[in-house]
Amino acid sequence: MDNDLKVWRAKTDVTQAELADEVDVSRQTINAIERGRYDPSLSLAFELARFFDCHIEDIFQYDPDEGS
Amino acid sequence: MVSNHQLTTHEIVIFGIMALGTLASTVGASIVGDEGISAFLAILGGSAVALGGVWWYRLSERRGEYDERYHQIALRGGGVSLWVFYWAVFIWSTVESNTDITTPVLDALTWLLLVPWVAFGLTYLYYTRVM
Repeated sequence: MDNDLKVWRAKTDVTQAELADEVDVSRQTINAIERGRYDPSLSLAFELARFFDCHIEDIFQYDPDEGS
Repeated sequence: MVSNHQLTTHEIVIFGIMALGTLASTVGASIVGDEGISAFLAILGGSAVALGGVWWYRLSERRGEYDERYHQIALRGGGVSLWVFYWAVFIWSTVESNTDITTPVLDALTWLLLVPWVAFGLTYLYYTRVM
């Protein structure tokens, strides 16, 4: 699953640590999501979308051919 | 994410159960003369530690003390260490019944008990880097 989390974070000018605090995860988890190493749960994806006031699909793009 | 908080009643009970379980399955089972009671204490103590561990895990999960990624890493670590322990026991029992190998330092079973902890630690470290 691809994501534009880094772009959204840059647009709103928040650090990984600040975003992590807002959605109750560790900075390392935000870093792992941005680097595509970890796909967040649905609830965390919703939390992130709510923080950036956008839809989940604006941040995360699912490619069926990619498989994950 | 680890948070600093005071021990709750739940946690005190959980850690108490785990401590008693550890004592029962080690010192308790060792000093009791009767073989049947010793085996019973070992099984009861081991079950108490396992129950306490699962209970503590569920508690920390509900409280959100560790974020979901770390829970997944811990679950992977637990799964891998269980299988490593399974195969370590299998391999050791095969080696023991077919060779004259002995372990001069510590009992062989004591060494085996270290295997899942080492496997868990290494798996945890691995997944925190790749996941």
